[in-house]
Amino acid sequence: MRISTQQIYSQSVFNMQQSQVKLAELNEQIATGKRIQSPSDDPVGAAQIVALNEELAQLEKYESNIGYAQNSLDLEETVIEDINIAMDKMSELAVQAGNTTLSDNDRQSIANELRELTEYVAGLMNTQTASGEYIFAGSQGHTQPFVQDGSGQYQYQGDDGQREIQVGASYLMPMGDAGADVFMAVSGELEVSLLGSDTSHLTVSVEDQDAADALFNSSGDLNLSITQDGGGNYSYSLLDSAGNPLGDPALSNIAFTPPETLEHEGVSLTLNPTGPVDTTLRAETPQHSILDVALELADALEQPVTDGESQQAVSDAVAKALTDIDSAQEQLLATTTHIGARGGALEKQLDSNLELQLITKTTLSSIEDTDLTTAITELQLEQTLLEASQVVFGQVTGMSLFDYIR
Amino acid sequence: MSNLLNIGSQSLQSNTYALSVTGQNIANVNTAGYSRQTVEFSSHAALGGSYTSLERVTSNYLTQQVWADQSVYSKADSYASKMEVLDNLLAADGTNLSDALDSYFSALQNAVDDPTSSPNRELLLAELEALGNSFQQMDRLLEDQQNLIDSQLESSADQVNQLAANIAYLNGAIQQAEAQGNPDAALLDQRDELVGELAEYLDLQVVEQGSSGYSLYLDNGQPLVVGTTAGSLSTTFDSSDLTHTALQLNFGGQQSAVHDDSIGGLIGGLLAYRSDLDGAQNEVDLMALTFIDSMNQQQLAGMDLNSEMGSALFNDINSSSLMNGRLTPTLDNTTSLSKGWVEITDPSALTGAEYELEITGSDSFTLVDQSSGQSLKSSAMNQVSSLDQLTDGSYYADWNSGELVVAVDGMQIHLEASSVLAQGDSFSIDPTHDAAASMELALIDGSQLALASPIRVSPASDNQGTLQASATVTDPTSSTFTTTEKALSPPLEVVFSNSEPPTYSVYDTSDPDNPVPLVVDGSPLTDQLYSSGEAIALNGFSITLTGEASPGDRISFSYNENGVSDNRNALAFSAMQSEDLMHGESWQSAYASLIEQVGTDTKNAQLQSTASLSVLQSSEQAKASLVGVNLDEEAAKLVQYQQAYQASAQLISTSQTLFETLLDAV
Repeated sequence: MRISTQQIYSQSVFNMQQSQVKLAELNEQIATGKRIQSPSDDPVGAAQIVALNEELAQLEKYESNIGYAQNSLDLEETVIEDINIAMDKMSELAVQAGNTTLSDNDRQSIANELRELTEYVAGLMNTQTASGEYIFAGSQGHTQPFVQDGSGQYQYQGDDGQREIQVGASYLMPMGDAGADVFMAVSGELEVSLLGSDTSHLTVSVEDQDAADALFNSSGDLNLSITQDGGGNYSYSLLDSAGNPLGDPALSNIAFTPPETLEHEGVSLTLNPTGPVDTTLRAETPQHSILDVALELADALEQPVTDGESQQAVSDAVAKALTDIDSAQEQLLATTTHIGARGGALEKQLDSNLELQLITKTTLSSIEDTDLTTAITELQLEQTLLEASQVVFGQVTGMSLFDYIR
Repeated sequence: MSNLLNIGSQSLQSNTYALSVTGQNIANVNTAGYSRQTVEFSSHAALGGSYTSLERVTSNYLTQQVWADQSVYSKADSYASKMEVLDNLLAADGTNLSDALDSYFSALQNAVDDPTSSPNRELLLAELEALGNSFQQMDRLLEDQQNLIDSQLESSADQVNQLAANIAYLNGAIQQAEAQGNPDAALLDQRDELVGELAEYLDLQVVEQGSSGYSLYLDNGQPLVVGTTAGSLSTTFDSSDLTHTALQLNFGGQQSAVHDDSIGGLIGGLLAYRSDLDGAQNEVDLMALTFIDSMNQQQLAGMDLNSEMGSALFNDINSSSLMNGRLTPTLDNTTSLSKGWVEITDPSALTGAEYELEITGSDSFTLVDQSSGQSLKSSAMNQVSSLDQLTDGSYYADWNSGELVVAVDGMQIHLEASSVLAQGDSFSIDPTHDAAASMELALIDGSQLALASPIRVSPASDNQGTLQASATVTDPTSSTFTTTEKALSPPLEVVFSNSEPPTYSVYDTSDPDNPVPLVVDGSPLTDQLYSSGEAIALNGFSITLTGEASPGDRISFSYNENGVSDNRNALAFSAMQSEDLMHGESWQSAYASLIEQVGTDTKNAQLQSTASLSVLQSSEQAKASLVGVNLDEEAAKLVQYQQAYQASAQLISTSQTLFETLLDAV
């Protein structure tokens, strides 16, 4: 075996270079704190880092979404609380107005106060966020939800939309409530309408609210069909929404001569057809807000009390108002409970979110970050190796036969 | 026996020569490619004294081994060092597309939280633009790499040509020197050194052919240097992919294509890298294409802040310039196409592969998937008689007029020629061509972002059951459900009966006082059996009812005019982050796979580079230990020859003394 002088140099230099490359890598790992400088250092780890970073970005976003949801729930709760306090006041005023010893003037001032409170509550129901979004308008955040119409009644202009916010990977939290659900809590009287191509020769009215309500709740939309045979004789059938005749005996193909009045379960129909008719009877219960209740009471209080009858009218109005305020407050309470439940759920979600963030960060760190102890140990080892190579290089190249030839 | 004086002077000359050879060795201790020389002494019986001859220490076998190992190492090294660039590019902080997507989806969440906020919308739009820029930037960086490969191929070809010419020249010079009986070791060393340099660029077979010197052949037998004739490499367009530079070999007036897989060396490494780069580019393009299309479709299915239906977010993936760019006729085709384009019909079905369509007969073709190598013959596909019957895996052809449409893997390939399509013609198809580069935002105003659903769902306030409903647009492209502006056509109402189990009917409430049953596909939707959670297909959209229904419960559906606070479509945008919209993966997991793939390839390339370097080093060591100069050895020889010289001089001196002694005696 022989070795050439060039080899001695090139081999030593190569080895020292390798050591220096390794040292530079370790230096970078320690300086940046990152074990993986490029994906090829650990391809599987690099792919995991992408996935974990994605997860972390989502978790951080969910966290800020939770904060946003909490803020808007807080706002909603505050507004509802204020409205509730105003309703307590309305309730107090109504009780006060029921006092028979009051004069017309006293009632007038109560009415005035009621009107002011109504405006205050209407303002609260039309609360806007800092960015100008009406919080109780459903999906129509740029539309003022409670607007007084020509007759002085407040109409709801929004819809039932409820925005959902992503607070977890597969957890959407409804944020806010539509005004229709929170405030339109006072049921009016059941109304029955006739739907069909020609309903002009029919009229319908509700004689007994409770009976009619029960009828429609169990039967759905009713179908009234009037047929005419060859001799021009009329007969009618009244069917429930499944197509079964109502009544016992069944109201099926009952012959009649117009005009005829038909009564069934509190619903009264007059039939005066000029030909066959097929029509649908639909019951609807209009919902009102507390605003209408207060205004109605104010209207009643402004009527002068002259006799027992007008005194009774005031008492009736007060009694109705108290019932209505009660049901409106019940609805507010339900909403507040709901908000509280959502707030609690958000808290829990936040906790688990933070825990998940911690786990993800820990995992990410274990893949991505330099293990300093190992890295520094390796660095020292590599340093020792390099120093040794350098010493050996000096000694090996320092030896030459020429030194000994004189 | 010759006299002492003659022997002495002969010996003196021999040793002087030996000393000069030693000097030559010492002088060339650092010369690259220098083979040490030794002096052989021989005695001459008749004339007496010693005679010398010069030996160039070399081993043909070891030299060839070094050349072969050099090619292998150069290929591995150039491939690895290039892959490292791609590797860093994909995952680096500024260019990582997954980070860009994270940033976009995060901005989207702000808009989900508050869709009425103009700043949120503008921010989202800005993020979308930034995302488009990230894709374009990635595309440019990858394209720069392609250009770099092209220019390196060109400069490598120049180097190869120069080296080949020099080797051919040296072949001649060496031949001449030998013919004159004056062989020159330096020329041999030089030629070996040049062959070594050439082996860095490509894989060579070196054959020593007697007096005509070295003949060099490429790995597949194509000649590069024969005797004093040198061939040359030149660059040209790749006939099947005009965006790529290909190499061709010119030898003796003949031109032949050089195939990627046979070339080896640094050039082979470049070409190997190019195929990885193509794969990465296709993946990035596919990601851009599926992203653009999904966003556009979702945007079309939504309603903007002005209660208008959304318009496309990005430029259409099927614009005519993009469709035309996806198809390239091969250079040597005989048919001239009047039109040829590729339309993407289902981006999620795209595989990211490129294809080659070859006309194999008067009424047949073969489609080859370039990445899997699988070929699909027309005989295995279903031929349909009109264009609107085309589904994936079928084709329409009017062979006589030269029209062919092939539907496969989520795309339709259209060929229209003025006459019949010639047999043997082929077309290369790159379905994702330019997708990332074309990622331009088409919206300019944040209010145009369609974050709301166009369909308002309103349950009646006096419903008794727990009924809830949702609506999904199923036909965003033609939006048949809103033929009149800002109106559902027609507005609908679902009404439940008191049947057991519950049934529902869907009414058209265009006239609210006279609802009429809605007719879908020819049958009225009356008395339908209710099943909670089942989607009910309507006119261009579907509704899903859940919960318990009571008799008379109603839900109406209308156009969501003024629904500015609605974020249902924004939630659908957001859900795409985890949907499998790109060959069965989500975008970011596909990107992670790409990073992993490139990372693994790079790591393997690095390992291979290190391994082939040690192989090269060990064969270089073997050669160097035989032919390299060792100074201590030369020092010893110096002493050895010097002493022999002194002794020879002593011979002359002795001879003189003897002569003088003789004279004195006379």
